[in-house]
Amino acid sequence: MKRQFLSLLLILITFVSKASTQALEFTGYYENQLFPQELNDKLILQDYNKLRIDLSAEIGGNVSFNGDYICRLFHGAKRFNSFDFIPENVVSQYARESQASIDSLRPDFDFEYSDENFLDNAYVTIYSKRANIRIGKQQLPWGSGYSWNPTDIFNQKNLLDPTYEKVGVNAFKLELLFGREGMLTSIIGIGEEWETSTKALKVKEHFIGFDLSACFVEKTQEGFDYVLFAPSSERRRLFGADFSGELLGLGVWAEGAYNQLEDSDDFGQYLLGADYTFESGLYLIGEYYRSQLGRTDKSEYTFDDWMRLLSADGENLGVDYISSGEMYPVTELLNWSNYLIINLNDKSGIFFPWFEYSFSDNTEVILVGYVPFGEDETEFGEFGLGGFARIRVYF
Amino acid sequence: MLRQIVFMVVTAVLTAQAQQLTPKEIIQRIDETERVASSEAIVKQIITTSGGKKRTLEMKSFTKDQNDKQLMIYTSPSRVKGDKILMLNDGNDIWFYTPKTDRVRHLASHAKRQKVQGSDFSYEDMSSGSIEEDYTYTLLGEEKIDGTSCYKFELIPTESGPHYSKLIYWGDKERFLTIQIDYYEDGELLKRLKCYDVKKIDGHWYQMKLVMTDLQEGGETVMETTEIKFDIDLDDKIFTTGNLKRR
Repeated sequence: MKRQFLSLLLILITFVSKASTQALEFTGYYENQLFPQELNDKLILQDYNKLRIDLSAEIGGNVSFNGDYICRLFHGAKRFNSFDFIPENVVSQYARESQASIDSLRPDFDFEYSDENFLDNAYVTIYSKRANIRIGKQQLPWGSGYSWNPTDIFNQKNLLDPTYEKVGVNAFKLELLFGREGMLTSIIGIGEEWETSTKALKVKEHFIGFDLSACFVEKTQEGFDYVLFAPSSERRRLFGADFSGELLGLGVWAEGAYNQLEDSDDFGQYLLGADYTFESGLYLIGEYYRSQLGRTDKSEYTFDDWMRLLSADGENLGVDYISSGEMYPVTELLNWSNYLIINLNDKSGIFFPWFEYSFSDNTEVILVGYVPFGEDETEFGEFGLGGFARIRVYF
Repeated sequence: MLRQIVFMVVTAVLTAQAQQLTPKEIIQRIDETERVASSEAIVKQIITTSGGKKRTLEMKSFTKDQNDKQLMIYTSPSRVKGDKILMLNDGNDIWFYTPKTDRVRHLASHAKRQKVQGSDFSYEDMSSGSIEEDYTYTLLGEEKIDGTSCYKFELIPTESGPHYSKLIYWGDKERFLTIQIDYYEDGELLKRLKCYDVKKIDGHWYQMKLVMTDLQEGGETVMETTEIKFDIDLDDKIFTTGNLKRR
């Protein structure tokens, strides 16, 4: 951490001295989030303080630098165990397969929220008339979907907070502009070697009111074999496409991806969405999502499936889902939304009301409740009541 | 002598009739005045809520091709700094970009009804289309608004026009500029736009202050142009989605 901090300081000093006549800008925000969660019949509390500092500078006419530094300190409950979020019978089955007792396995599944200090999104962008090059750790938004993005294998998306900023990806990105709205994007996500680095190609065009794109991504998929208790990896190739536009007055979008895996079965993931704004300002959104990676019967959910849900992959357990939401501007400063996600296979889901209030020009307060429903051993039925309260102050 | 007087009166009447514009000509003159070749402006938006709270936003605004292309870049406050709105094809295509997620979202036309950053202006209010193309119009007469002689029109939106059921429009008789618009929905007066502080800049008449009042909820948004330039050379490239991510 000391080395990281010194590196950041060095970068700051270098850029301040070089960019002092080039308007180095500091912005950012402070955020506090309280996260109460019902767990094992207790109300657990977790809180974090987050400071994000954004740096940006124009270096010459066509070159810019951007960087974010993030510091996050956790308080309250920080240490959890994955077994507490997985049905007992599934854990028992896993213990039998591992030929060990649950108590002996339990410590291996502890996880802790540790304080974080890291440089995020530090990149240089070079602009020209027909091409842009961006090098460094950067945001890689991918796909048209709101709750799910089948074509996105760069980012982890929180289903319950899908618009929250993502951690950057170390990459070299080249964008070639053609026509009026056309763009060819090529991305190399830096891995340990060329073979294991992520490679992506995307072509996008605007045609008769629709944004259309097609993509190909190849990456080394990291996984974990929980029986052997060893990491695994295999090559994954994704062929994807998406569009967004308007049909019969509704906003519509679709996104689909077919995944070829080196050792495991191929699978497809598809999404269809629509939205509409009424004259009163009421906004409705809905999506249908299908994942061939999932299972149609809750009795078939394996320990690996549950761990994949809880881990960075965040893949859902079932096959068919719907998500829906409505947003209404209650006052000029207060928006009230309600969201619902349902696993159509195990009939579980989660309802979360969402209140967003603009406290001042640069202060927003968000209050969200999580109300899961469903039988035991279903995807959302295993989770207790929860929510979060977040305040963010920009500077 | 009598013959001379009659001749002078008849000439004056015929001249006046020749100078009287048809409603179509008036509307065309207004469109010509307000839809400029290009512009670059710095605008301050002060939103006053119905509860009396104030929010202030600042932005840079670019237009080209008679407002067919519009780009707004928010510069203040920090919460929205770097957010961009691109409108093409007279506001029929809208994209929203935020640097927080580096994501460009393509909005469907129904989103034009949404308020821009919580102000009393919707996206379609901001997308200054052509009156001649977006409305059928009826000249109702002439009226004075705040001392300015105006033509008064009833505007009924066509399919390409905004979602309101009717607009009552007052245009400056001398300078062919919007002075006031009343927006109606199902017979109810929803909001009122009033334009003030008219100045001539780079040969163009322009209203430096616009006030949109929500007559139902009680809020108000003031848009003050602090600086504007017309007929400047703007690259088409800045009005593309590829350029939105440029910081």
